[in-house]
Amino acid sequence: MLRLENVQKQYKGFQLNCSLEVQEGCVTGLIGKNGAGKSTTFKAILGLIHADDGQIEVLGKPVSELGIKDREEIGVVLADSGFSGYLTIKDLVEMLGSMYQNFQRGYFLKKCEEFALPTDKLIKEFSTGMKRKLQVLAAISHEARLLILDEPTAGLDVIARDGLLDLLREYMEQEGRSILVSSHISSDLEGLCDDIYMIDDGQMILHEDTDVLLSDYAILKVTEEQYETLDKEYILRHKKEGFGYSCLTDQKQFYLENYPKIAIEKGSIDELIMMMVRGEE
Amino acid sequence: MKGLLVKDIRLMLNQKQFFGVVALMAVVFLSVYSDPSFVISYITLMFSIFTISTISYDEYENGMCYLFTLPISRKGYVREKYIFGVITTLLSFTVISVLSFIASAIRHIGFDVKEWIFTGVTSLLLITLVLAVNIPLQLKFEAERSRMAMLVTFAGAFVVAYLVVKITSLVGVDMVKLIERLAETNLKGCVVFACAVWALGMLISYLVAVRVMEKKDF
Repeated sequence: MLRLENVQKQYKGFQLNCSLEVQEGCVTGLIGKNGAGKSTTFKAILGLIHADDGQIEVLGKPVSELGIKDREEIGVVLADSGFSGYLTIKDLVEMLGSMYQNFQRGYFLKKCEEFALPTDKLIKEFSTGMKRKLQVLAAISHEARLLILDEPTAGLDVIARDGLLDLLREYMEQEGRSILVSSHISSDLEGLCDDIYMIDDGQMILHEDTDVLLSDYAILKVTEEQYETLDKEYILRHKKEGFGYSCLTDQKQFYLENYPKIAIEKGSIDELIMMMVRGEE
Repeated sequence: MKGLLVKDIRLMLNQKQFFGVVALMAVVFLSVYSDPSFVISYITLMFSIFTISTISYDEYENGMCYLFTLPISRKGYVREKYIFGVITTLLSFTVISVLSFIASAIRHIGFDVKEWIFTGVTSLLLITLVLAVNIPLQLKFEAERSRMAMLVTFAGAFVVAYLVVKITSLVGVDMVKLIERLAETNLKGCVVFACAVWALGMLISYLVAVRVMEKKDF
């Protein structure tokens, strides 16, 4: 559905170098701290920036060859951009109806009502959360095969976030669809994604199935003495702490069986990010 | 293309205050001025320049970035701006001409059709050329810097024209008189020449604007 191979983009003080794949029928997550390169990756996928090197294939075509018909099959949410603030939802309905052959006007308006989005108000008067809801609703209202969602839940309260994630799960019920989604709220990704990529300083530092990430990854809390005798073959990162060391492993079972005395915590994705970014190899 | 036109028309309809002021100005001018040519040119310019404003509205809060994730092409976007500019120019010219004709009839002022044609042709050529200069500048430099770039461009054009007149006068050719004489003796040729310059200007402007958009990173 989507493939990036050694895509490079150089900015002053920043170098993106990433490979990534989104399979048909899968929801793939992209996580990383602010400025890690998530938005740059999304922009490269959408052809909004010109990559310096590498290959980007979207829906089986190089991104530079994507035509208007192909773009009708992609739904997008961007973290730092949206519909013109000088339009209303009523205007958008007419505009999107003219742009997308499969635009579902009734569904879109019904969902706008459910999410309490006023149809007569200029979009520039919307809150960040309202703008985000609007973009998600527009993205799923034209039978897109691929959704590219950069921080779709940013600025939303818990209830709205839950409602939106349900919409995305509903969207995935139909076969042949895929989503690439980024979020700084890791619990959103844990419950939605089949696999997760982690990006830091423009480089992909981890790719793993979410199930594996949650079942096999763990954080070992060890004293200095325990650390000295620890088999480090399956330690991905370690970090000095007041009590000794925190160690990230992708083989929790190995340490559970061989080191019954050490403290092993089932790491959350947030802790995993912290260890991958701040820990040493 | 259709979706972009719908968007720009909707943007236009949402600017009721601006167009209300322009309509009021038109009414005042038509009631006060005896010469409809000024009113026709001025009001047409005010409406047609709205095309440039639509680019600013697209750019508002980095909106252009999202716009290009929708099913449109960069070339299609540029083409739509020129088409929208020509449509609004022709439409406003037609409406204000009809209103001028009615106002002239009510106020018992002679409406010179020949002069109206002359005003119309020159206004339409000049106004669309203003758009042709502005569209690529606005796309390249965005709102604030494009105003400066436009001033520099027009100042540059003025300096070039001034230098041409001055230099030719040094070699004993009076350009202004030459043009006047040409217009008197071969009006048809002059019109054809002006139209050719206009078409060339529009084509160059369009090609530059497409190149600007295709190279742009959002």
